[in-house]
Amino acid sequence: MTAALVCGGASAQANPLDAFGYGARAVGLGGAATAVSTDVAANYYNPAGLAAAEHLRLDLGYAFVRPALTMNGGDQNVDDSRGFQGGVALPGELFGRRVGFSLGLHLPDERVSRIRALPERQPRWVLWDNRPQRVVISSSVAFETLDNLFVGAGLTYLANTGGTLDIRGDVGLFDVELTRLDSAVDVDLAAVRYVTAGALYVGEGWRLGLCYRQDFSLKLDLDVRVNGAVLSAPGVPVVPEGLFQLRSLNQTLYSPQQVFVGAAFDIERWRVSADLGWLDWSRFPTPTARLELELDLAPLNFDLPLPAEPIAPGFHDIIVPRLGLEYRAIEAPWGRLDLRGGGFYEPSPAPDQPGATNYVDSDKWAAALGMGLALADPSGVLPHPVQLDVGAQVIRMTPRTYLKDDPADPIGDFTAEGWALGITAGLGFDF
Amino acid sequence: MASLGCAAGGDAGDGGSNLPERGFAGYTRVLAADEAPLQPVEKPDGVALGDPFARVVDGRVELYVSLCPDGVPCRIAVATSADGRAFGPLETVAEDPAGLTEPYVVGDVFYAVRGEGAALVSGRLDGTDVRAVLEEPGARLGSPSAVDGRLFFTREADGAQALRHAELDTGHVFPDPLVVEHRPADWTPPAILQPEIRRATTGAGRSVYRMVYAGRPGGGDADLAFAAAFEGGAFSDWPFDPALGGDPDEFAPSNIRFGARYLLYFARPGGRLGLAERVADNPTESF
Repeated sequence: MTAALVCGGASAQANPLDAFGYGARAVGLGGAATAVSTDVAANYYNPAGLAAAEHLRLDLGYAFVRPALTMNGGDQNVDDSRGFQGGVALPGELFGRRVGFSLGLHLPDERVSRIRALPERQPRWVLWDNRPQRVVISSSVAFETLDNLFVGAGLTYLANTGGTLDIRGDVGLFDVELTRLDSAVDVDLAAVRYVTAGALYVGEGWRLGLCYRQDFSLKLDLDVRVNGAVLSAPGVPVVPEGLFQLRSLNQTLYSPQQVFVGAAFDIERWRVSADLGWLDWSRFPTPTARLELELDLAPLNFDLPLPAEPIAPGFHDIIVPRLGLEYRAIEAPWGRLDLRGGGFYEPSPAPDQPGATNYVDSDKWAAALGMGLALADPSGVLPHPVQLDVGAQVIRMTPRTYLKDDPADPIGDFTAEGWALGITAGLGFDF
Repeated sequence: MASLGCAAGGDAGDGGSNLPERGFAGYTRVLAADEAPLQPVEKPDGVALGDPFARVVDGRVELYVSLCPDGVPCRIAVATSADGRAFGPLETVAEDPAGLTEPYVVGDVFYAVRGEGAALVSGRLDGTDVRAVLEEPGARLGSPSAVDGRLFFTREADGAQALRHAELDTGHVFPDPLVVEHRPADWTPPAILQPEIRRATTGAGRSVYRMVYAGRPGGGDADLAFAAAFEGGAFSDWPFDPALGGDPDEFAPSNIRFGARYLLYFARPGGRLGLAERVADNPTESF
């Protein structure tokens, strides 16, 4: 069910959609959906599948994920991720070839957007803690190039955040009554887009899919400017035209470029799907704010210390295998019932943290269960069965111990582990 | 301090809650005048208290001190508390004609300084078997800490003071003084004063030597600071030292973890004691 953002989909990135997959069917398959997604979820897993869909499809759904991430047994109280998901997929024919178009939407119901920048020394589940709650819009097109060979591409839009705090006025050096400051705040949400592209071949009883997703980075840029005079007495400036400027550049959400290969085989009532993905985490930029400072208090001579450059996180690429099973349990005039199961293993891209940084992450094992129930409309108003899908997934972040080189490190040694439990449900209407 | 409090003890608004805390940061003084902490141990007339050493036994805090009545040699006394703040009456543990100060207790054995520092002694908490474990005429020995068969102490001679260590069994003094490696531009006192060293266990189960000490950078009032070492050799200073500073003289610190609270006892001018505490969301260092 539901709409889509990107294909492939890593399981524990900063985005809640990436973290838990997209759509109840795909969740129930452990995310092994590169070769089998033909509904709105194809926006996420492989847009080429949109041209292989049979009917116009409207999806409405809801996803909920509850992480329980700890450090030395202390729950980090990482927020739940939840939100409405929906979209429409429009397959058709053009010049004798199949085509498809889809529009997807993810709408968090707690916050439209959430961002925060943390000092690099502060421990955080780096791929979860800063989970932005963002509105995400995605659109994809797909078409059939050769018989049964489909290609597709899509754009996903997210929002960058930038802001300026401008303060102007006079500051009294000895008398607070001389201080008069006017401030103005300007916040800007700018769209960021990235590309997803995929291919799908549908054979007799088997499918082969390939999907590429571009990397993207959402930034939080903040400017604080203070302009004005510093007065020792009314009308007596010590600094006639002072300036203090702070610029904070911070990356709040990053998803690596990735390639997923997927295959599926139908054996009687069974469908087996498998994905193998490469995620380019070695290009992960530092998730810590970089500060630029400027101070001009002429004729006074003050120098600001240069802020330290953030330490490179040193992540590495990973290979992620996924496996899904789907069993057609019932097929009858009133509808059908599919049972699903799956899982994946995702090694952590994060290195040990023996120094000042504390970017916490660990290997992830996931198990998933799901079901799909298609019910024919006895009134005949709806031309095709209504599709109800439910997928549940549990992700185990295995215990990982962090040892510090410095015996007096402010954080010290610690162990991190966690769970994430989620459920996604949706209704699909075919027309 | 502020940045450390955020880093080590952030809450949900700071980007996380229950973050690991080692008990190096965020101490708040508990003022005797306001809340009557240590009241029974607080300075009675004509008596000076100093050199606190705290430990937790059976869920209670035992606070050993140097008790020095006017005109009488100091002795070692102890008071206990259920909360680490309000203590019962002082009871004498051990005394010596030359005086005993700077107690350190392991099991049922205490270590202390005899007289003006001519010797370090040990004895049982019932006051028996008091004997010298290290002597050096002409030097002033102080601040014993017995850890893992080693005796850490300070040695002052010819105007120079250093942190040293010796084998407890043999009395062999290792020749090289121990140092605290300070980072450039950090708070850097010229000498390590009244150190207390304990064996601690980190949040990952690793063993570490944990030291709290006093220092007087620039020769002014003493601040309290932390350092740590894996092997008990070269100590690294805690980068946000001093952990407690800015107030008039505070020295001779003793640090314990009491449940989720880190307690820092220290001596103050006038023969009085002080206490600072940090209530941790997720205390990770055990000692």
